[in-house]
Amino acid sequence: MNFWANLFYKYRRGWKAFKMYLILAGPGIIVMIADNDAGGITTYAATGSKYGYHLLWFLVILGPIAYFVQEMTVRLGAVTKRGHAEAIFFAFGSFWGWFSLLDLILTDWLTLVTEFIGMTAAMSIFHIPPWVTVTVVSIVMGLMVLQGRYWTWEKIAMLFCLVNLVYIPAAFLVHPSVPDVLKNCFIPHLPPGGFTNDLFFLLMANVGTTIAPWMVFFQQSAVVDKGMQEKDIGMGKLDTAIGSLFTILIAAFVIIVTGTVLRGMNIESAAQAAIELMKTNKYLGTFLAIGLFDAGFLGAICISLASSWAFGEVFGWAHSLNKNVKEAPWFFAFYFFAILTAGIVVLIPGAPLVLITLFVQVIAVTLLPAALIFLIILLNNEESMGKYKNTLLQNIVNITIVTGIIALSTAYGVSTLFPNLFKGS
Amino acid sequence: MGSFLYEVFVKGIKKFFTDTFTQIREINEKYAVPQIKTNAWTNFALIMLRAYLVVLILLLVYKFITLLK
Repeated sequence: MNFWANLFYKYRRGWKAFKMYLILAGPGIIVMIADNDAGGITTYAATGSKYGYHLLWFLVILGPIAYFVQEMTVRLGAVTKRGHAEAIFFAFGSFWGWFSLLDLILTDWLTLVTEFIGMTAAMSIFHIPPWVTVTVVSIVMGLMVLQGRYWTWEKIAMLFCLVNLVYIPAAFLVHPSVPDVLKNCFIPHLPPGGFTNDLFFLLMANVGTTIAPWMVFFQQSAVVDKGMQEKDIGMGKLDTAIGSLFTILIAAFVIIVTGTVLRGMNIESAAQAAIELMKTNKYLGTFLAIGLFDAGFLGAICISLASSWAFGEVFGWAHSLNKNVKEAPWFFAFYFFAILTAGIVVLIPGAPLVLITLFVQVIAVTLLPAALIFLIILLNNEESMGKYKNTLLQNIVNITIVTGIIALSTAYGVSTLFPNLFKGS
Repeated sequence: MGSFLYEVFVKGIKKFFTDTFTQIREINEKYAVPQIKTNAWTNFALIMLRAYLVVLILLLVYKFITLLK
């Protein structure tokens, strides 16, 4: 009897915790899955086609790295009730504040353009003209925020996150060698050919796409807008951990698909990969195109919000998805301005889209180190963080990770500026 | 018609910029003094960050100049 009573008690407790998780889940999962945006899917497709399954282990390492960085934003947001932009202004003064805010706005806008490029390219595969894609996407993004509740926005975004799982059935369609996949996931090794410049560039690109500056700003603002408290930090961390698991899972499945079917091909964009896959199996190509569109859409909804939240925090405008247009006019005006201008740029004939895509990497490396260093300093501020400040172990792990990310993302940005810099070995 | 356009657009734009600059001034005053307590490590990190950004900007300027040539 005692056994059954205990079991029932544990079941009730587990069920209650699960229901609590469902209420609090959101920012972590959304930011992590949106991290696999259009640029991310392109990087994974290029990685798979170039090196097959050989770099899967590298993704397995990137999962915890993304978790440790994003987990800090949960604590900072829940304890200080400030978004990252406002926190930087408050703690470091207006010089670093303006630098971070303006750099974020520029980086986000350029990244938003790349998301529209990805979405229009994906829909072009289904013969949908770019202007239709841009118009429909802008309307849907508008409706998502105009309904007046953060909770509803979050749940709709999570539905789009589910669509991103389309890569999983796609991977089963190509019948990969499961032992090979598992071996490459858990045994770190160099691909055949050893350490080359191409390999270094792809490793840097994978790091660059896993941690982006907008993610830090987005998740912290989302935690604040959701109204998460200190007692919710545990669930917020769990949410982020589950999100990081999914982001790596999705990335791995893209690599499995392209690594199985397109091995040896020179893939330069996810749309090109989808077209090539369509020749092999139309369902496979369709899955990849849907996934690419969804990735671009998720990236776009998060990035545009990250900018609007940041601007609202600093300028003191009402800046919540729980407000309507009358209550927060500037917040929504900024949101729509970003979407419409980014969408229009993609539709301009002859617009320098390739240059914009490359420029994003360079601008991002000017903001990422600052955002991450400020994050660590803020997490060590006992006055505002209290018992939630970084422990010694957390500092060792986080400073190591941040140093590595800064080094690799800087090398990536500089190699974009000077393509021949790492060539010659 | 001309005076109507002047009232709506020119004055409107002027007001927008005046309000924005006023707001920016207020933000600068509000956040004039950094609130975080710094130690040697924090100061070192901020100096390194400044140096990093200066080098990056110099690289961007160099790239821009070489592109123009």
